[in-house]
Amino acid sequence: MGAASAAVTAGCLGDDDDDPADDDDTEPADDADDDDDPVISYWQYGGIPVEEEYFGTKYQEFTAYEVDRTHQPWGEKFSQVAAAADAGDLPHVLQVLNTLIPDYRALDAIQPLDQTDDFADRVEAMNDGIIPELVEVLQYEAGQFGVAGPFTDLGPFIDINPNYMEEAGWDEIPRTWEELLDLARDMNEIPELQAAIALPATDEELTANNFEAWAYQNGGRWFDPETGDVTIDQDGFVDALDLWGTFVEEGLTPEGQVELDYIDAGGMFMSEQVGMFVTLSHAQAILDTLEPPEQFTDGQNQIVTLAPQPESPTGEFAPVDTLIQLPKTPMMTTAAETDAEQEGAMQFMEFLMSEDFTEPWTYRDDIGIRGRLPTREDAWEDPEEIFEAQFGDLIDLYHDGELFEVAEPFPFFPGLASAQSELIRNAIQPVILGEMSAQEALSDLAPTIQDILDEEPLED
Amino acid sequence: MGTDAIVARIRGATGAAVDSDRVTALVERVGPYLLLAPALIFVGLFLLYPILRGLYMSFYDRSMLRPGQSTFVGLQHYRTIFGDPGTAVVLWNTFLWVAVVTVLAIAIGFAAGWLLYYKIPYTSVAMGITLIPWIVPGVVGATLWNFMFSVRVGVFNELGVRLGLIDSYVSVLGNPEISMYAPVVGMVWRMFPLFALLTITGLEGIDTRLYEAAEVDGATPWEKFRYITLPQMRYVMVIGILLMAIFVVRDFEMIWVMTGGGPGVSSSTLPILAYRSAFVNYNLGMGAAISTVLFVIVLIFSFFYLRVYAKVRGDF
Repeated sequence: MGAASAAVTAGCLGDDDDDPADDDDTEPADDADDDDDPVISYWQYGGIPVEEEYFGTKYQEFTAYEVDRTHQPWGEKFSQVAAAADAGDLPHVLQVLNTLIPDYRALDAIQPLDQTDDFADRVEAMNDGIIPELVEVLQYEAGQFGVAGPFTDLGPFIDINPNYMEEAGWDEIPRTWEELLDLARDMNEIPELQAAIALPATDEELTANNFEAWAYQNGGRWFDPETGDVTIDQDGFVDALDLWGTFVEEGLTPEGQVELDYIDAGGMFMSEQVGMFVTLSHAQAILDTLEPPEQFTDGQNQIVTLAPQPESPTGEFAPVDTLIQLPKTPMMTTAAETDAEQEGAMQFMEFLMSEDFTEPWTYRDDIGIRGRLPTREDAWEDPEEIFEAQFGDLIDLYHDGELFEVAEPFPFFPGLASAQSELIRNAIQPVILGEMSAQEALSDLAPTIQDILDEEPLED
Repeated sequence: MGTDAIVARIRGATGAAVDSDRVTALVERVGPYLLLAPALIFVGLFLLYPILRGLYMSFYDRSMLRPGQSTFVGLQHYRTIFGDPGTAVVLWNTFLWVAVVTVLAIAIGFAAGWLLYYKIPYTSVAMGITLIPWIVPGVVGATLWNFMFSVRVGVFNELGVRLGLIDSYVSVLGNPEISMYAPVVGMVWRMFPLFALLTITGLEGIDTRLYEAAEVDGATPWEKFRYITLPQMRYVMVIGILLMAIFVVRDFEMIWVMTGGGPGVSSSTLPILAYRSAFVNYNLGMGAAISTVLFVIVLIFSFFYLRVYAKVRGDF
């Protein structure tokens, strides 16, 4: 049993002498019946149905404090927290996307977890056994503002139907942008398919996440970290967007990309209307929400793989193969003001990080959560068969030290949600609709993004 | 408690001889305000204060990301609203949205109301069915229409292909040229029952002797409609138009659910822009300024509505 788990067990059962929480002046409650104990409010955002069901029942096993849980829609994770912060109505614990940490921090909605020695030790215990690079993406300013949660999503990925790939005359997965274009052109000739590749481009952050991952592969960045100057109008971003535009311009995508969300794209892939779709590593999780036929769960009809990379990246920054995000990061909000509230929130976060709670994402039990990449090292060191079947190539990269070690976090700065929305509506969508060239759209957009960057101080 | 009882209690409480007429006058003067006070406090707290607060905020640059900090910028947000080409598109969309939905909903609502009143048996059952779009929660209705217009599984696309009208599925919600039409259809569906209801009310108020007299004079059905029904319905129509405009200009959910105001701003109206400014771009000042413009528009419609209503109040 890991230290984090031990701490949790102690919080729940009160029987582990090694738990650092036991050393604290504020004694953890033995059960939720003590009238002096605060009720810990907990907002959890998004998740596929099986995860939502799991979160909705499993949290009740935490009995040290009474927990008031609310499942919130993924799309509301910024505006709702902003409104709650303004109204002084935040919950004690949020479980949400890590890239919002700078925005939440600017709202004064969250607090660092390692603010006291005791808490620092307990955070360290929760980090123990988690892939170290995933812990790093939780660092902001001078503290750690969340813990990793049970799984990570990586980008960029594509999901390919191997049967159609073979029918198109390809026996190997494309590894460069040019090869991907060629495969798409060949696949487009297959009469049963409506189009070769679905490229979801609705106005939601996943569209921006997907695109960012492609642009970062090409050496693009939102801004120069040295100067703070916007760089979306440079080749790294421009050529990546140009590639997306080419897919649409050549008729390789189905009608209406800007109204296809990632669920629609997965649905088209599953119903074999397209042979590929652009996604993050969670492609299987998306398909599972659509109750796929067996051949889409046993690996026959799909290969979820890292997206091809540009042969010669054109951006001025170092190309990044993979970007990391943590969609279920537990964070302690500033609503946890008193020692008792902070203690309750901390114990609940320890519960959320326990081995028992995170087990379903390691593929070791029968709950059936698939398509997620576990944050726990042991799941990668000794992978289950089903995990290997889905992500064998990633597990190989992990063992070769070429997965997380070379990855970087998804973009992470105050104003990100606003910048992403501007990017989608004023660059990605117009280019996909053929209204503007990539260069024109991104050059026009650059001053707006610079304003967003200038408004908020960048992280030191 | 009557005035006499109040006067008696005041006398009892003071234990002094009080001029009965003066107390009565005081109670009569102050009493109504006391009775109104709870309502006035409620209106002040939950309507007046937010409006004034919004107006105040519209003169400031205030970002959600900088809690507690704001800079006075005067009319800058209003200059942006009326000077920025992107916002001009939104203003034009708002005008089109209100005009087209109102005209179509009134035409269809009038026809439905007329049919229900004169032609369709089991009027109450038919009326109940007609009212469904008005009763269904807005988000549910918008989601249904979103589904029907979908480029992937939409019933209209499927119907079009099966009838040979189109070769393959067409994107409506994702096409900036026509993305506004889909929410218009959904909103007309949602609003027409309101006017059908008003039409039935109006028709019920027409004196049947007018039609009898017209028949004696040999009037045709069209002439009866043109010279009796329409003039008698004029106030109902004006009230319907204004009510409809007030509802439609404020509507958020139909467009938000169906297109999110996009692609780009192609189907955005003022409420969508206000939401985006405040909760996506964090610009509370701009969001407040857009909301203030929207408020003034609603105020104008409301002013005319109240004037017309005051004129015909006795007819209802």
